[in-house]
Formats: sequence, C-alpha cells, structure tokens
Amino acid sequence: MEELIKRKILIVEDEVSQRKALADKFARDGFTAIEAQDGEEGFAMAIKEQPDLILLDIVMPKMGGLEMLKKLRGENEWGKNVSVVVLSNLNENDVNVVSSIREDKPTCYLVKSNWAINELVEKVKTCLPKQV
Amino acid sequence: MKELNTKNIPKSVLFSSLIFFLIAFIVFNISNSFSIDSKKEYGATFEKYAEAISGNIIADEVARSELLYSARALFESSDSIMRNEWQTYSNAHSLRKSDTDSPLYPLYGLFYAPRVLSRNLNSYVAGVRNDKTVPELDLSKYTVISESTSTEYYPIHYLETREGEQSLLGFDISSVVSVNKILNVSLKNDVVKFTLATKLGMANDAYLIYVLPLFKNGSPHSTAEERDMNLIGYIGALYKKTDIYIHNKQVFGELLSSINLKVIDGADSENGSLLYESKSKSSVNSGKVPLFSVIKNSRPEGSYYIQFSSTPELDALVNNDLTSRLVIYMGILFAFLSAIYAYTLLDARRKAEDLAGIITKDLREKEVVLEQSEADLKNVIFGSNAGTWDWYIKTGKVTFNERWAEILGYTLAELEPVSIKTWETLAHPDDLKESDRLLNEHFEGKTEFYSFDSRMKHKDGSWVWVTDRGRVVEWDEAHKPVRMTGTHIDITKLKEIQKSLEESEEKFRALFERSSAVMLLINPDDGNIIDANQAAENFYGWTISQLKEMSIRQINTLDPNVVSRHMEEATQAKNVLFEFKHKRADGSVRDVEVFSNGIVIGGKKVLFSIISDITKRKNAEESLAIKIEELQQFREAVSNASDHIVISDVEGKIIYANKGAEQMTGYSKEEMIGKTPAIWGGQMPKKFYEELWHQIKELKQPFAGEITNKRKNGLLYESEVSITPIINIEGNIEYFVGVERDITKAKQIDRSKSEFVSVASHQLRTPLTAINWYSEMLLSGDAGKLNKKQNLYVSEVNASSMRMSELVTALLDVSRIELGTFSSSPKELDIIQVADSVIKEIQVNIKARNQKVIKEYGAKKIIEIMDQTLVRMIIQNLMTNSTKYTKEGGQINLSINKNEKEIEIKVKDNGYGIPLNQQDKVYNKFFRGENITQYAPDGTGLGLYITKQMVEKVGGNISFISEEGKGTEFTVKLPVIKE
Repeated sequence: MEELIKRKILIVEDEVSQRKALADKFARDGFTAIEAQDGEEGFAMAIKEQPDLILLDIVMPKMGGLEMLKKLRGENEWGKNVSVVVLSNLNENDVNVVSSIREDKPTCYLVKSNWAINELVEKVKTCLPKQV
Repeated sequence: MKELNTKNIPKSVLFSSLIFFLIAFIVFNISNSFSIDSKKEYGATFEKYAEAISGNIIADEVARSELLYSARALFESSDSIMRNEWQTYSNAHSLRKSDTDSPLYPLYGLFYAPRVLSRNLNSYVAGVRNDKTVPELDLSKYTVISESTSTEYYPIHYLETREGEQSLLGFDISSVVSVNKILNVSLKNDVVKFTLATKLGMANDAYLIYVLPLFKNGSPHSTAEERDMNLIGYIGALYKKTDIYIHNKQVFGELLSSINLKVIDGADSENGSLLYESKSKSSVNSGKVPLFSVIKNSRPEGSYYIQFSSTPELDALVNNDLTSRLVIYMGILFAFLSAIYAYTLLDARRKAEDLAGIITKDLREKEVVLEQSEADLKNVIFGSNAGTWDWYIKTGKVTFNERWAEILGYTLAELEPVSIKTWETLAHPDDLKESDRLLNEHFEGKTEFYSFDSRMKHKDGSWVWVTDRGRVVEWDEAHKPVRMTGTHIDITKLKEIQKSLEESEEKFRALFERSSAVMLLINPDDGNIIDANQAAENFYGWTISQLKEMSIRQINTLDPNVVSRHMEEATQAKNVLFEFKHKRADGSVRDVEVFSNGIVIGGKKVLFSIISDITKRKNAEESLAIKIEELQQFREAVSNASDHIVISDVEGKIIYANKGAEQMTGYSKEEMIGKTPAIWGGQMPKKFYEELWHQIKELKQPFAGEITNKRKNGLLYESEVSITPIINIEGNIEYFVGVERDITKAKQIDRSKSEFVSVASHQLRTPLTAINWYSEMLLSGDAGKLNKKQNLYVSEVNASSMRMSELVTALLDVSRIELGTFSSSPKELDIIQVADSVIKEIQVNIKARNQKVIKEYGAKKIIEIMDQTLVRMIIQNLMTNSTKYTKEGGQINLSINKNEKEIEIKVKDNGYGIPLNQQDKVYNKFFRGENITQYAPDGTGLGLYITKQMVEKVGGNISFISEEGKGTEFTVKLPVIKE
C-alpha cells in the first residue's frame, strides 16, 4: 500500500553531481526518484514512467530543457498537464528564457544556486499535484 | 505815295513757325531810303512774290551775319583762340554733313585770317611752322600765299570745312585785288560779302563768302580810322551755292515736286537755257538796275529757277557794297509760300515792303515782261492752292479766283454774281464778329495785316478752315481803305492734324496724370525732372512740385555719371528696361524697374519713364534663392544619410529612395522607384502590416517599430522603422516618408552581451550549486552525523558558498542594468500577491531571527501593469535588507498603497539604522554601513544600488529616513501607468 502512494519524481539534469544530490535528497524524503541526463532521455522517460513531477534543467546536451518542455506540452496528452519545475542556473529574466518558458507553462521556475537543497525539496513538494 | 523813314533799324530776331517750316527772320542795319511807288498796277500777286524773295534774302543774310557775329563774340570772350576751340566752335555750327535740316546747313566752312603786318610776316610763318596742332599737313614748307608785296597780309590761319579741307591755310585773302577792294569796305561796314574767284582754288562762283572784321578787344571801332587802327583780322564763312539750294529744297522739296517745278542742282545761268531775261547781262555790271530773270534749265525735266541779280542800290540797302551778283536759288513756289510769313514785326515787314517796292518799280518799266511772267505766276498761284480775293471796300465789289471758289467746293461761275455778300454768306456766322473786329483794326491802321483763321461753308455743308490774309492796298485822301487784297489758304487738314495732335496730347496728359503707374518726364541732358504724376508723388513721398525741382540723380542710388550714361542709352534706343534702386523722401530705398523711352515733346527729346516697385519681387527672389539653397542642402543631407529613407505616394509606390536605402536593401534606386517597399518586406506576420497600414493611412499617425526585412541577396535584416504620413492643408495624405535604421548588428551585439551574462551566470552557479547542496547535505547528516568541529567547518563552507551565490546573482543584475540588457515586460499583476510571495520566500530568515513582519496594505489587491521581476526585486531587496539589519526580535512594517499617480511601497524597520555621515553613500555600489558589517558580514553592498536603478528605470524614485540605532524607513514610489 505504501508502495503505491510513493510519488515519482523525474530529475532531468546533465550535471551528475547535482542530479545525484537531488535524487538522493528526494529518495530520502520518500519519493521515487528517476533520473535522465539530457532532454531526449528525459522526454522518453517521462512518457514511459509518467512521473508526478519533473525537475527539469535547461542547459543540457542533445536536447535542452526548454525544447523538451515544448515537446512535452505540445506532443503528448499526458505531458500537457504534468507538473514541471524548471530548475536552472539561468536567470528567470534572461530574455530568451522568459518568453519561451511562459508559453509552455512550467509549474515553477527556480534558480538552483539561490536555493538550499532542503528548501528546494520543500518548494518542489508545494508544486506537486494534490493527491487524490 | 509813301515815304519810308531813314533811320537805322536795330537788329532783332523773329521766329515765325508755320505749317511746314520755320524761318528765322532777322533784320539788320539798313541806312538807305527809297520811295516806293504804287504797286497797284502789278497786283497783289506779284507783291507777295516780291515779299517772299526779299524775306528769304533777308532771313538767310541775317542768319549768315549772325553766325559771324557770334564767332566774333568768341574772339572777344578770350585773348587768344586755340585751334581746337575754333574746331569745336565750327563743328557746333552745322559743319557736319548730316545736318541738312539745320537752317545753317549751307555753311561749308569757317575761317579766321589775322592781320599780319609785313614786318611780322617771317615770325608769323615761323610760328605756324611750329604749330603742332595743324593736323595732317606738312608745315615745313608753309608760307603765306600771296601775289603781291603788301604792307599787310590776311593769311587764312584757321579753317574748318565740312569736308576737312585745309588746303587754303596760309592763303592771303587780301591778295586778290578785287577782294582787297572789298575788304576796304570793312572800314565802314561789318559784314562783307563776295564771291571768291578761282584764285582760291575753288570752283568759279561756287562759293559765297561772308567776312566780318575783328577788332582788338575793347577797342573803339565806330569811325573808319578807328576801325583801320584796331583791325586785327577777319572771320569768314564759306557757303557752297549748291548747298543753299539743297537746304531750301529740304524745306520746300515736297511742294516743289508736287508742281513739277525744280531748281537745278548746282547750275548757274550759263548752264541753263534762258527763258526770259529782262535786260542783257552786260547791264548787270553797270550796277544801275537789278536783274530779274526766269531761267529754264536745259535738262529734260524742264525745271525753272529764278535768278535775281543785285544792283548797287540794292546792295546798299542790305548794307553792303556787293560787287558780285547775288544769286538766289529759290523755287518760284517759295515766293508764294512766303505769303504766310508772320510779319508781326514792323521792321521786318517794312523791309519787305521796301524791297518789294524796288522790285516792282523796276519791273513796271518792263510791262511786256511782266505780263508774260504774270501769266506764268498765275499758274503757279493756281498750283499753290491759294485762293485770292480783291475787294473794293466802298462798292463791295469783289473778285475771287477760281481756287477761292474751289476751296469751298464751287466753281467761280456757280457763285456768280459775286460780292462781299458772297463771302459774308459763306463765312461761319460765329466767325463774322471776330472777322469784323480784325478788319476794323486793320482799317484803322492798328495792324499791318488782316489775318484770321476762320470757317467757311463748303458746298457739301461741311466747314472748311481757311487762313484769310490780306491788307489794304489803296487808301483815299481821308486815309480810308479803298481796296484790299488777300488770299485764302485751305488749312482744314492742318486744323484736323492740330486737333488730333491736341487730342493725343490731351490723352497723354490724362494718361500721365491719372495713371496709377509711377511716371516721370526727365530731361536727358541734366536728369532734371520735367514732370511727375500723382502716382510718383505717392510713391516717392515728395510732392509733384518738389519732384520738378529735383534731378533723377538725387533719386537713383547709382553714381550720377552712370545715371547719365543710362539716360543717354535710353534716349538713343527705344524702350529700354532698367533695374535700379530709388531713394524716397523718407530715406527708404526701393528696388524699381524703370521702363524708359525717348519721346519728343514740343520739339525737344525727353525721357518718359515708367517706374514699378519691384522690391517685393526682389525680396521674394532672394528668399526663394535662400530656400532653394536650404532645400538643396536638405536634399543633400537626405540623399547622403546613412539611414534608409524612402518617400512613397499614398498607395505606397516609391517615388524617392536615398543611397542609404540602396545600401540597406541592395536594390538600386531604379529598381525601387515605382514599386512598393514590399519588395524587401513581407517577413512579418500579416497582422503586423495590417496594423501598420491602419495606423499610417486610416489614423494618419506616424508608425514606429522594429521590423524584419529581406535584402535583395536574400539575407534578413532587422531595422527600426518609422513611417510618417505627410499631410497637406486639406488633411489628405500627400506621401509617406519611411526611415529605416539597420539594427541587425546592434541586436546581435545586444544578444551576445546578454548571452554572455547568461552563460557566465550559469557557469558560475553550476559548481556553486553543487558546493551548496553537498555541504548542506553533510550538515543535514545525510552522510552520517558530523562531529562538532566537522559541523562547524562544513557550515563555513556552506555559508560562504551561499554568499558567493548571492554575490553572483547581484553582480549579474548589476551588469544587466549597466549593459542595458535588463528586459522589462510589463503585465497586469497584483502587487500584494508579489509582496506576499517575497515574504513567504524569506520567511525562513525572518523566523530564524524571530522578527515580526506587519503588513499594511491599502487594499486586498493592488492591480497594476508592471514588470513582475522588477517589482519583486525591489520588494525583495528592501525586505532582505531590513531583515538583515534589524536585531533579532525586531519589527518590519511593509506598507503598500496606491493613489491616482503612484504606488507607494514603504519598508520600515527598527534596526541598526544608517549613520548620518554615510547616508549620502547608501546607493553607491558595494557600499556597506560601518555600523552593520559586524552584525551582517555577508552583504554584497549591491542591493540598494540595484534597487535604485530598477526604480529609476521605470520613472519612479526611492528615498529613506534613518537614524542610527533607531531604524530605517525606505519609500519607493512607482508611477502608475494610465490606460
């Protein structure tokens, strides 16, 4: 029963140290953390695993986070409504970031370095869809 | 019988101007007396003929004598007369060939011959040889041409002839015996006249010479002795006989030809065929009787001339001992035209009378001759168009000639029987009274002549103007008039001409006076204003009478000599147009256009000028020139501007494109003109163009924006474009002016600038994030519990790393602000909501310091259009500062209010405060209060700097009140965007 309510978080992050830290932290907090190292892998995994929330980095090889988000929102029925927290070290008000992100409605946009990891986890939890 | 008095009659001058000619009539000294026999046997006709001849003789004689007297005056005015002065004087007296109209035209030459005593002859000759002023003559061999050894000589010293002839210089005029004899006369008389013999090298008898003795200045010369003693030389005038004829032909030529009667050119009696001779030629030399002959010329034209030879008595009459014949080349007609002379001077008329008496007396003896000549003369009278009348006053019996009747459209027969009643009936009733008055005056001896221009009724009912002239020719014992003769001359045509002349003069007057154009009549010789019209008075500001006292030189701003030159030009040419500057009474100067024309008024040439004020036109021309220049510069500027500038018509068709447009689009001017900007446009969404057109064409408002276009080579470029409709007075669009500035490069630079900032921030943050998180995880005991020391060390790592992150963020904000790459996109937002989210975000810190935040919001929601990031950063910076610089357990008040103008955000704390001496440095970059570094060592010193930049970026302002140890209150006011 416990297993069933364990919530699944997909962490798409090319920076291994950060991905591992996040995965470790969320696992400790009782989440199922699954990992992808770029947008392509992230997109495939998201479709396959259909997590409750996606933590998405922007600057990644192969496919960036913004592209993946666009694809997710545009190509997949499930992807349209999934909670996505964009987690990046790019500033939210950087010109090109802002415009494309707003179109694709992420749930949250967080600048990594501004957040202590515990606070980040707390923040992400607020972004989770309410449990049915 | 009538006795004439013998007294000397002084010289006087009379001008009488009639229909075709003007004759100068001067009477000079006369010292003989003659009794005049009755002329009645020879009739009025011949009397007039005689008068004419005598009139002409006298007129010409007088004119020629006058010339010599005036030449003498020249010598009297100066001690010595230079050769060039003599030339000037001579040339001024009709020596020019073209002056055939001048009464003095027959004058051929003027000379001066000084009296040289034989003992002085050598020095005189030497003097002449050295005279460099004698033109074109070899004077080295100069000598006085003389045939005899005399005690004195009269060599011709100066000679000016019409043809420049000077070969007679040095000829001693007294060397001819006969001439010498003549010159002796000068001891008694003034003017001496003779015909020079062949000795002078001229054609025999071809010259008539008049000389006048010249005396020492101021010396007496009334007696023969005085005259001889004081005589210093002679002044002489040469006349070519043929020229005398030519001159008279000028005067009478037209009429002469009309009756086919000619005087032969240059001929004398020997060359003509003698038609009639009253006496054999030999008798002429006897000096007893005058000769009168009518000569028919041998030429086929069959012309006539009269030859009249003088007698000593006649010569004496005209003052001189004429040894030579006096030849008068006059047409017969001349005689009859002279009937219209105006004999208003008693002297003149008496002289004529005397001459006529002499002639008639002589001719009476030759009745046969006279009958014949009278018959000829009658024909001439007929040809002359003069009607004659002969009136016996007491009986009323009148004889008219056929012409008299003809003037009135009748034949003589139609008027029979004629009497004085015939005249009274035909005369205009209004003229009869004046006619009676004038006749009575004449009958009473008050006038010498009866003369009246009157109207007579023509057969066709019209009125004919005649000059009616006559005089009483017979008186009774009681001195009552018995018989009167006279002439009628038809002057209707003349009257008509006179009338039309008067009318045209009147018209000119009216035109001149009433014209609104400024007009002046100017004397071209001295520039004096003869007349000015009202318009001139109005224009110049001087009254007409003031203007008449002025010269045009006072008005024209040009040099008076230049003005004179222009006047000469205008007088010679016709219709000359000038542009001048004219002064006015008030001192102002106007540009004028002067239309000048030489016209003849009263026989005098004057300048008629019409003046138009063209100052306005001139000014307009000047300002137009300036405008054109400005326009040229403007065009130049537009053409060479680096911006792309295009002008199109209302439909967008290009009518102008500058070089900038060519460079930017890659299309040539020729390729662009006639097309629309769509050739390089079309890259934007359809909606963009629709809005653009709506804005400029429907709303007629300028459009400004950024646009992506395509060059001819296919490359895209970004530009800042502004399109302005040019609207005419009617409010319609004339054309559009489009200006584009290529901002592709600027955009790229901006992009790379912000890309750098993004990349830099990302690259710096990535390792920091790892340090933050892992140190935090260690501290959280994720890798097992740390001992105290470990915990302390890792805490330091974590805090420094966090501070580093903050610093990176702040620095990046600063660089974005300073590079101008901070993008702001205002949207509708709830400021309260933003404030709450900031408080929530920093809640952890607030809680950690046990502080209390009091919200003082003016409303539940404050909706405004603003950039969310900006508002957030402002509130966040101020709140973070207050949290940081307020003791644990302190209080922070956040109040947000909105009024019509602005949104006011206040953050107040009871913290450490800012020391007074540092308050002016609060907004400096990296500034940190000295009193707070001990409590909060990790501040960046950039927060307030960034906040102030943000606030000011949107036109707001920031201020604070602070007291050290008591707290600080920051106030930010952001302007409300009004919709």
